Amino acid sequence: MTVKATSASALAARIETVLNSLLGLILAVITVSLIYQVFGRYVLGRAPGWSEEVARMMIVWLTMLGAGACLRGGTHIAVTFLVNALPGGLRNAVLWIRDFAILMAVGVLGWAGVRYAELNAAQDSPALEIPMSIAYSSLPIGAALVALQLALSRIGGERPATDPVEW
Amino acid sequence: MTFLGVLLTALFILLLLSVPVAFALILSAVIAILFVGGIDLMIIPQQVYAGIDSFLLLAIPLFLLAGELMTVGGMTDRLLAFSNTLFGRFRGGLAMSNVAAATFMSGISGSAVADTGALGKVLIPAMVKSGYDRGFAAALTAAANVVGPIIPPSITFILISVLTNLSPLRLFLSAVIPGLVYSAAMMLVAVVISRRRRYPIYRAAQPGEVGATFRRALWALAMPVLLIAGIRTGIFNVTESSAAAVGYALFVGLVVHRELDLRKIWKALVGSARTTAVILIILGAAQVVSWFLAYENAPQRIADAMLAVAESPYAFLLMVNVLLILVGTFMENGPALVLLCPVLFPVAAKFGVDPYHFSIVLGINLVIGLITPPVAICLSITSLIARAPPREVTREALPFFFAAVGVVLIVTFVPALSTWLPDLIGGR
Repeated sequence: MTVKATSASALAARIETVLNSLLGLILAVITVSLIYQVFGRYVLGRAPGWSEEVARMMIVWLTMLGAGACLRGGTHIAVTFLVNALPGGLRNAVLWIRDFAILMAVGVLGWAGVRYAELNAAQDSPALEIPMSIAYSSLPIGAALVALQLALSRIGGERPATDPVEW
Repeated sequence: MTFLGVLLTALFILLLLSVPVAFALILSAVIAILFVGGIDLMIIPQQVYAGIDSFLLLAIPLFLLAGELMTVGGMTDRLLAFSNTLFGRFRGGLAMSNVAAATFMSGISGSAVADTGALGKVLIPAMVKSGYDRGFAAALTAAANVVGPIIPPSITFILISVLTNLSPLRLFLSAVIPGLVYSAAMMLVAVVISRRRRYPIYRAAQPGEVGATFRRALWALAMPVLLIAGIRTGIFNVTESSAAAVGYALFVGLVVHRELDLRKIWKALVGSARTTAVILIILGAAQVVSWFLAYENAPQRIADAMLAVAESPYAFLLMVNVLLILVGTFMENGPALVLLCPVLFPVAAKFGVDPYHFSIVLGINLVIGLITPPVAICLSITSLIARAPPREVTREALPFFFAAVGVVLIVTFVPALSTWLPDLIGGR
């Protein structure tokens, strides 16, 4: 394995670790805002206006960052019985087509997502009054992360995963 | 309807090439949109965002997190101890206890896959050690834990509620009795097979042991009841109840059982967040396809076609059952629901089928897919844990599968099983 390959793989692993930590933090923020919402209504007498908006923006960020974090481990749900039954050479060819298809999908999502976020830059969110592009930019950033992780794991020469490795 | 042909062909090919469902949905929608022409591709990020941005969906990561915290915080062990003292005295005691524990677990967690892993790691080795066949232990554990997404809290019914605007509380209540019927059927199959093969008696409970283990398991057993009561009385909505469940799990794990620590909590946070992302990215992607289908008025046209074929509500429900078991075989619940709900619910309404009853039929059908090869995630997990060949596990799963299909038919043709409890308690 070349130096370039190992460092690409190491970088991908590093990015995944950082993303995992962000995911845990985001879910903690969501949990705390919603618990505070119930607490606010019963103990403080009124529910805070920001809690629902924060939680909803965070869930979109969680999903998009998670899409990138789950790529390398093969954690994304896919129909894999056919590809797993193929002989080695054909299987590799199919997996290259698969990765190209993923790249196309996130390419469109990212490109159109940038335009969508720009279009809504002037619009403010109802409760926090922050630009909606802060929420919408999760889409192109998540798409870019998927593409980056895909590219890095290919450059790193990793065996492309089809099924979750966690079990 | 060429656009529909283009969309479905693209989706089918991409799925067979093992493109992850989320990206296959987005890409096939892109292809169909370009084929039709005249639609700005900006609709894609817009709909993906709209599909994920929902207050009710927040309940999914929180119920997953609560379930995970309770599992690592010692509730699984206590539920298991309780079900062992209840059923250990009978022949096939561990098998019966397995089904009971899965049913109890389903009340604190909403996911079959998580329950199967958590219970299987404890139960399968114990069963094998006391003389059960590996294949049977694996098949039983998978079949029993499929009840997880049926009995509330349930990720499946939260998804259905998001997709159809039905009341999540009423969906939860509708699912309780069908879920118990499912567990009873699995228990029956387990007992019959255990008796025929002379599987061992585990051990009789000591006097007072049932009461003692019950009291220790009470924190876990009480949770689903407290949640439903809290939602029903309006103390909190479903999403807030999931946050309360996390609070409850933290309190019990840290203060009562004292088995949680920061490392376990952090691991549960990251794990639940990753699972959530995998579910919700599909939901967002499917929203693009749903939008496109609605834009082209497809659900209406498909509904008309189905109305032309099926003549009575029963013929329609039977058709749906066959369709769902087929779909469930190749696809997991989440993606199958987001694709099918927009198409099937309008037809069910035209036939006068109660939407809540119909949701339960959908839900049970799809979870059976978790134990139907070739894509049977629960069976794969348990055969890994049991180190049993998948072929043998599949063969052992057959009686459970047929019993499950029997439950589907009963639930389909006896609507009262789904509608009686919510009518009684009155959850809207």
